[in-house]
Amino acid sequence: MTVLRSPRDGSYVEREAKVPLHELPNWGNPLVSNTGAPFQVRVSVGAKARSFIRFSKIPTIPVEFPIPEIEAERYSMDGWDHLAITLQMEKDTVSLDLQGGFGRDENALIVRAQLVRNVLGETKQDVVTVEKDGAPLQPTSVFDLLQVRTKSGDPRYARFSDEYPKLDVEGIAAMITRYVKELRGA
Amino acid sequence: MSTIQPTQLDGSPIVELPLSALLQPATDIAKAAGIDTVRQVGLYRKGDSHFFFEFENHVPQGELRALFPAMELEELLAEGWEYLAVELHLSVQKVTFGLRGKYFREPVPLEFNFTLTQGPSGYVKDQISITDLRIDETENTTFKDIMEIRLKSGDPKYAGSNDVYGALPIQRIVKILNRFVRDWTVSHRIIERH
Repeated sequence: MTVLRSPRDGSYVEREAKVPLHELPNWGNPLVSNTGAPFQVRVSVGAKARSFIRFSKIPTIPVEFPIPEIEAERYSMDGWDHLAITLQMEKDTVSLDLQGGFGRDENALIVRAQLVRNVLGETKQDVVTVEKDGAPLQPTSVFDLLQVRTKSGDPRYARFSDEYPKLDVEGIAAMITRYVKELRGA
Repeated sequence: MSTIQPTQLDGSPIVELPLSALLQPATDIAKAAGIDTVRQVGLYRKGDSHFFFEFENHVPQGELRALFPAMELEELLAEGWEYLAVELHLSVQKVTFGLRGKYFREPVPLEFNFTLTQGPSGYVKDQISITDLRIDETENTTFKDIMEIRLKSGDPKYAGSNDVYGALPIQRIVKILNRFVRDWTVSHRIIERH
């Protein structure tokens, strides 16, 4: 594992580089073949934080899959009232679906992001939407969030080492958290 | 990731094995996964069944292997279960079997919860609760008590005459509980006034 460097403004937590999104199908494909159907991996944050892997039937081969390591407590402290990150694993493709409520009052933001990648690293879908005060804001994407810089030129939401083709689930969740944190403060 | 070959078992759904036979493979599986407990859940409804691995605090750092009973779904759901969750939690030298669900047989809707934990020296927990959803009243009992209920003839009412508490395969436990639950709805058709 590699520790990714972060801008030095104190609001970033160091994290390790995990398995890039497009590499997850390499782990998922044997299970899709074995059970004959897609399967889901979900990590949730909130009152009942938990993770699970859901199959349509009992896999008869060992399950080796790097489940995203989302620190539920830290995400709750960051402001997420509830957050669910679901990976839909199909043959050669992974769909990341992030849904949650940021903030715990009537002005909570409703956040949804979807990023679909195949094993070749091709991005099939990338959209981030936020609803504020009941109205949808202009949609953006993980790609766009990655490009945003501060005046000093540092990445505003990403880390220095984040690269779009190699993004992992933990990095995407961290980036979106910083984005909605800023929106909420605006 | 580390790999394992659970002793005795090959990854196929379990048939005709008592919980005590699962202690060693459960230990192998939990150790290989690198977590305290591997929680497995089979959730069954008509036309919608799934199998889960569930993690509360830590995600596995190693290989996971399913070790789960084969269930006769058609037969099971025909009994009156609206849904049924079968759970098997695997820990080091501990296996917990759980059954919870919602059952309906005219006119009684009920919620059923059963936990049976096997340790190296035998069952260490045996707990059943049944809630009549019409009046929200819960009755508690144990699997041991259910096995000991007799007919006037002296034969066991729900268990078979050769059934031994502590040595029953999972599927047999489910059959006995099914008989008991069905009978419970019959004996509770009329709501008693206190």
